This record gives sequence, C-alpha cells and structure tokens, in this order.
Amino acid sequence: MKRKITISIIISILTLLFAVALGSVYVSPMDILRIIGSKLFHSPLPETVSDTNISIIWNLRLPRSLVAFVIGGMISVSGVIMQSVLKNPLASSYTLGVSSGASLGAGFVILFGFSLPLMGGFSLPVMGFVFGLGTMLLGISFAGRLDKGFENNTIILTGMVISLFVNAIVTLMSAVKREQMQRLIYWQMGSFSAQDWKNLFILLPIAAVGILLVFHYHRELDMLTFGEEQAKTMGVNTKLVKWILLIAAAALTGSAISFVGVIGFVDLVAPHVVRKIFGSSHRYVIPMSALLGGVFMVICDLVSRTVITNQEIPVGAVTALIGAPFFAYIFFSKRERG
Amino acid sequence: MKKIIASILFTVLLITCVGCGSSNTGTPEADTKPEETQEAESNTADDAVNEETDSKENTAAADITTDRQGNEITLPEQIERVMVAGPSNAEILVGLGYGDKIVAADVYSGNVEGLDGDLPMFDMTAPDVEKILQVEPDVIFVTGMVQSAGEDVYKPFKDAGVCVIYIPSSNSIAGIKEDIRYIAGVMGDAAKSDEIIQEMDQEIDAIRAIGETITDKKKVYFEIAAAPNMYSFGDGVFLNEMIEIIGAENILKNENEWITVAEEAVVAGNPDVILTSVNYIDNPVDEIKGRAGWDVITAVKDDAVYYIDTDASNNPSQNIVKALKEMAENIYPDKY
Amino acid sequence: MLKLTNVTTGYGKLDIVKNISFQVNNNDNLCIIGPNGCGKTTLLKSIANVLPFQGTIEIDGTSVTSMKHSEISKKIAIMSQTSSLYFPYSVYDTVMMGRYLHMQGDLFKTPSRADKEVVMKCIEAVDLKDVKDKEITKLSGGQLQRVYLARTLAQEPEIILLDEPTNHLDLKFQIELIEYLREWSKEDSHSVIGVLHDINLAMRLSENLMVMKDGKAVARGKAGDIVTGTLLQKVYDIDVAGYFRGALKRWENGFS
Repeated sequence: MKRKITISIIISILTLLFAVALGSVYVSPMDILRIIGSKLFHSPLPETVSDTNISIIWNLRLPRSLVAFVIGGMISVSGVIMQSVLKNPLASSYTLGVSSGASLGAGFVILFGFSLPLMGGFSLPVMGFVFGLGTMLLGISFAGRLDKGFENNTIILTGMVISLFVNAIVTLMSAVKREQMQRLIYWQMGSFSAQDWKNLFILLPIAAVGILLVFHYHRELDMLTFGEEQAKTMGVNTKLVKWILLIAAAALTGSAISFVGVIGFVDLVAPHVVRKIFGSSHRYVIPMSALLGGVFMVICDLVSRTVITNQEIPVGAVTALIGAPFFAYIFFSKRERG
Repeated sequence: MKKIIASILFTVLLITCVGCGSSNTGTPEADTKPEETQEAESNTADDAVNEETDSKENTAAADITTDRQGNEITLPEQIERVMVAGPSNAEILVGLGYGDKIVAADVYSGNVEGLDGDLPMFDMTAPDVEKILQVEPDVIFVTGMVQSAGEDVYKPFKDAGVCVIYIPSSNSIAGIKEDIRYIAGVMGDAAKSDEIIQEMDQEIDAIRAIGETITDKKKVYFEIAAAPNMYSFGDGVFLNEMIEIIGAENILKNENEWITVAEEAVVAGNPDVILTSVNYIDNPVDEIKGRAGWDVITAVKDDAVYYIDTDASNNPSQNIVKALKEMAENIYPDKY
Repeated sequence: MLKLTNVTTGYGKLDIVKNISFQVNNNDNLCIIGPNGCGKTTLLKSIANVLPFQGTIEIDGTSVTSMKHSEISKKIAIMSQTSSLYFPYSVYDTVMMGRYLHMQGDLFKTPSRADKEVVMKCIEAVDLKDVKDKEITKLSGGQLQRVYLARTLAQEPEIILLDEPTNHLDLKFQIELIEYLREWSKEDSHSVIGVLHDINLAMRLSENLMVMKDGKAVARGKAGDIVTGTLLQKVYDIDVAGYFRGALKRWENGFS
C-alpha cells in the first residue's frame, strides 16, 4: 500500500511538471526551472528569458495547472461521498442538482446580465455556487420530508427530479435569450482558461476544509457501505452524518463549478478507479481520489489546450473522451485478475 | 468474389463523391423546383416585355434561379413585402433603399437603423410560421447560420409558397460585395448596388493606399468573445482581410477561420494592439487589461486596447467599412 | 437489564409489533421464536433504536428516549443477517468497525492499542485468525456470519440482539455460536436476546422463551413450561409436535 501511495505522489508531481512544460508555445525546460526558481527563491534570471515566457509559465500555465489539480481533487472526493453514501455508482452531485442549479445561477448572470451588488466580476461564481448548493439542498430536504427514514433511493429520486426541473427552467431561459445562449453553453462545458493565482488561493482553503472534513468521517463512510441500519446499530448517527457529507459534496462541486463551469465525469470515474487500486477503505480512498482525480484533471486540461495548436477545446469533452476508455480498461482488467 | 467486392466499393465511392458534391450546396430542394422555375421564367419574361420602366438589369432578376447557397429558387414577380432573418441582410436592404419594404425582421436586426420601429420581430432560428405568414412576405432573406441545426426551419415557408433565399455569411470582402449585388438583383435592380459598392470600394481603397505604405506592420489581436473562452479568427475571415488592408498583421493569421484561442498563443504572439467587439459585458477593454499574465503584452503595456463597434464588425454588410475605419484609427492613430 | 413495557412498533401506519412487554435481567437470556412475519426482527430493531416505537424501553432503569443514540449503541448491539451488497473490506477492518463508538475523541479516529487488542481477541474467538486480512467478499456465508459476530463482540455491548444469525452456518458452527454466547452472557452484566428459527437451538441458549404470533406475545416463560404441542400448533399452524414425535420415533428406531 505504501508503495502505491508513493507512486501516486510521484505521478502527481510529474504530471504537474509536464503540464507546466507543455503548451501552445515552446519554452525550454531550463527556462521553466529558471523562471520558477526566480519567483520562488529570487534566484537571478538571465536577460534571455523574455517577459512573455515568464508570464506564460508563471501567470498562465502554473496557476492554471494547479487550479486544475485542486478542482480535480475536489470533484473526485465529492464523487466518493456521493457513491458511498448513496450506495449508487451513478449518483453524483451533478445529477442531483448542483450542475443544473449552478447553470441556473450562471444563467441569470450570463443571459440576463444580472450582477450582484458589490460583487462585480465575482457575480458569476457566487451565483453559480449559491444556486448549485441551494438546488441540491432543496432536493435533499425534500427527500428528508417525504421519507422520514431518509432512504437513499428517495434522495436520489427527488434529487434527479429537481435537477431535471431546474434544467428545464434553464432551457427556457436560454430560449428566451438566444443571443447569449452560446456563452452559457460554453460556460457549461467548463474551462480552465483564465484561471489565475487569485482563484487558486480562494479554492485551496475550500478544498482543504472540504476534504479534511470528509476525511474526518472516513470511518462512518466505511460503515455506511454496510447499510444504514447496520451503521446505525454500530452507533453511527446516520442521518446527521449523511446530511453533513452530502452538503460537503455539494459544497465541493458547487465551488468547483462556480469557478470553472461544469466538468463532469471525473466524479463518477475517479472513485471507482481508486477503489480498484487501493481497496475500499475510505482512509485511503479519500486522499487518493483527491490526488489521482487532480492528476486526471491536469492531464485533461493539458490535452484540451495542446491537442490543436493555439486553440482550446472544452475540457468537459476531454474528460469524457479520455475518461471513458481508461475507466473501462481499469474496470475490466482488474475484474479478470481479481 | 473479388470482383463483386470491387464493384460494390466502386459504387460506394461514386455515391460518396456525388454526395460530397451536392452537400456543398446545402439542402437539396431540387424536387419541386424545376417545374416552377420554368413557370417563373415564362412569367417574368412576359413582365419584362410588358413593363417599360424596367431597365436591362431587371431581366437579371428573372435570371436569378438560385440563392447564394446554390439552392434553386423561384422569385415572385413583384417583391413588395420582405422579411429579413439576419441583421446583415437587413443592413444591406436598408442600404439599397428598400428599408420600407421590410415587413418583418429577426430579433437581432433590432439595432439596424432604417427599420420601422414597430416591426414584428421573430426568433430566426425558430420562426413563428403562422405569425410570419400573416404578415404575407413575398421573400424571406435568411442568413446561413440558421441551418446549423441541421433541419430546415424555413421549409414550412417554402411549402406555403414563400420564396426563401439563403445568403450564407461571406467570409471575404469580395463575397460581401457579391451578396449586396445579388440582393439588389433579387429586389429587381442590380444596378442599385453599384452606388453602395462604389462607396465601399472608395473607402477601402483609400485605406488600402495608406496601408500599403506601412512597412513596420503592427501585430493585432482581435477577439469577438471574452474570457474564459476567447474567440478569434485567422485566415479566411473578412475581418482578417480588413486587418491586412489597414497594413497590420493578425497574430493568428496562420490559423483557419474561427477558433477558440488559447491564452498562451495571444501572450506569445505579443500583439501591439488588441481590439475587441465584445459588448455583452460592461467594460470589455478593462476586462482584457485586467487578465492575469496579460500585463506583459505590448498592447496592454501601451494601453492600446480598443473596442470596435460590434454590429459593424460582425455583420457581413456594407457597414464593415465603419468597422474598418475604426480599426484603422485605433491601430495607426497617426496615419488614419 | 432490559425492560420493555407495552411496546408497539411498525412501519408507517402499520403496526407490526403490538404491546410487547418483557424483562431480561443481567446474565439472563431470552429467546424469541415464532413464524415469519410475526414481528421478531421489527421488535429487535426497536430495541436497538433503529426503529421508532410506542411504549417504554428501559435499559438499567433509564428510558431509551432520554439516552443519546450513541449511548444506546454502547449498550446494545445487534447482529443482523448479512446484507447482499457489501464492499471488499478485510476481515480485520470490518471487525474494527465495531470499535467505532469506543474510538471517539481522536480527530481521525485512529484505533488505540486497546482497540486493536479487542479486535484480535474477537477475531480469534470466532476462529477467523487465519483469514483476518482476507476480503470479506471472498468468504463463505458462514465465515461472513462469523465476521459479523466478531464485529458485534468488538462493540463490547452489554446486550447482544441476535437476528436469526444461524441461517448460513452449518450445524457445527450453529452450536458453537450458541455455546459461545451462552458463556459470554455469564460474564459481567451481559445478556443475549436471540431470535431463532430452531427451537432446539433456542432452548440451548436460554430457558426463557417468548413465543410471538402476529406481533403479539402468545406465551412467555420457561421453555419447559410453555412449549407444548398445542401451543406450537396454534403458533405455527401445523402439527409441529407431530412432526417431532415422528422424528423422535425414527430416532429411537435408529433411523431405519
């Protein structure tokens, strides 16, 4: 196990290095190291390194890749929660309302030009987050009301119904405001373009708090997989724990979406892959999902900005294109062996 | 056995070639048109003989049997009531003096000067068939964008006997001029377009003359959509032509048509001037200047980021000249 | 000590268990028998505080409604039937889950040395030491049942509720399980309440018996006193006694 963890950490670091090394523009590895060194350690930088390249490495690629890493981690951990708590491999905070809610919030800003007072440029992420979280909470509390036992199936069903309903509203809004619909669609496809250090410093604490909170409940997550009744008889306060975990999942994906748009698939696939490699114990699944989910996202972002020179393709498409076959490979190969 | 396979393959190849050939012309409407075209020709030929006020150019209208996309069409004898779907068409019609004949327009044409303020407006990608037929248009000018959905949303109009004319967005200035001439021809007098086209040529040539003298070309980046999904263009777009006429160089000129551009490409390209036609956010210029990592770009350092009129730069009509002038003045303020 | 007074419980508006009262003292056991659907499992769930109920349930004189769920779970553990869906945790990790209540306090709930000792003891008690690192998905039904038993023991409760735990076990392990629990119940203030199908096994666990039918207790007392052919006929709707008599006859005749 230790070996697998070490390898994963090494892969993470290597992937980040790769991501910073590659892009539309060629910057030599030596220059890259010099630039990073000069920014971190104030080591001297030769005149030969152009301002443009410094900006590309330090202001574009590095923060962007780090943001992709953090977002990937956040979304993957969210996926772990949803799958373990609801015991359903298709359960995801996206399908339960966070993505449609976030689209609704974003729709107000993009389609109707709505802007929050004092928020200015932050209106989009804040609206996305608030509506995303709110929609899923609506779904969950509905479920809690309908079903005193707070059963998983109820949660999933009400979540989907509310999600579809909100989606319909977004579609209506788009139909009314077709001129801006294209922009909303692009937003929904997700992008790491224009992610800077500022965003990274906002995302990091959110990710840290969220993931640590989830990790605090790693044992309860293990026990919940045996079924709610059993977990309850072992002393778990299942209703409270479920609420907290579901809110944490919604908050993690809600924040992610609000910054980079809707990038799905990672939260469905990463937990499965991680479980195949590291087993079911959440003590490992949670941090490793964060790590490997981050790696996956960085790779997808790298592909989305390098596969066609000078152009970017939506990263949401890349996650599905790369993710699906990779997932199939892991799933079926391990099956034969195991 | 081999022979059978070979012949099947050959047939398939043939069919594919034919298919490729026809797909360029868009939706094939060949079925019902040939007969009607015959009628139309004979009808308008009679008209040409009867109406003395017609100049030679009027027979050009009768000669027009296809639209700008290659679909066969049947022009009505008289065109009094026109519907426009697409602001470029509206601008061209107004420019030719036919603004008063426009009885219905699409929502995006709302800004076009010269249109009746009370015109019924429609969604051009999903036209309300009943309401539009009520207005009784003789022809409908449609831009090609509408067909991207795959199906032909204007088919109901064709079925109802209305003449639907597709004018795909031209990607060159020459193409735009042809569009103008074509529309004038449809409306009955191709010569009417002469004046407009002459004006265009004059303005363009004036700028081109200055542009050719410029040896130290400035690098330009022109975006039509802001972060995070910045949209720009390369070769094969009339805006690119315009940049070159002005005597400047598009940093993305080696790209093909429209692209979602990667930030790195712009930063590495280090344009001297940045232009934007984005008008859906409050302050597009400031937004560009504030982008992380863009502060090293010459254009940002020199504060050479400018807004260009959205309609004039987006719509392929005679109004691109307005955009051309704005661009020239902003790129080389000392020369223009 | 567990005391139930007029406990009624069920699902939604449907009452499955009606007005059950009994008392189980420390070191005493109780067996509950009855046909399927008579409410045995439902009753156990209420005692374990997994199902709401009407009436009173007291543990050592305190009503459970005034206790926190974690306090109740520290005293009462239920060993359920195995579920159909479970993840491939190791035997060791599964049993460790039973220590959940005792591991509170640490931010990430790392098991203490005491926890580890208890877990090993329980694993050995059910004779699964050899497979302690094996994934539970790879175990036989009987082994899995024993893992659940170990987990229940690791919880170190005072009262163990057994919910027909012998379904997957062969005869040897069934008897061993009941014997083990009998010994266990003699320690400290332990008690076992077992819902069992097999009356013989039930009587092996305890003399105290409660017979249920349609949610009600039709008989309660010492097995020797209350188990009669008539009672069994009434409860099970067939001539159970006759069946046993027949088997006994053949037993006497050497099964020829």
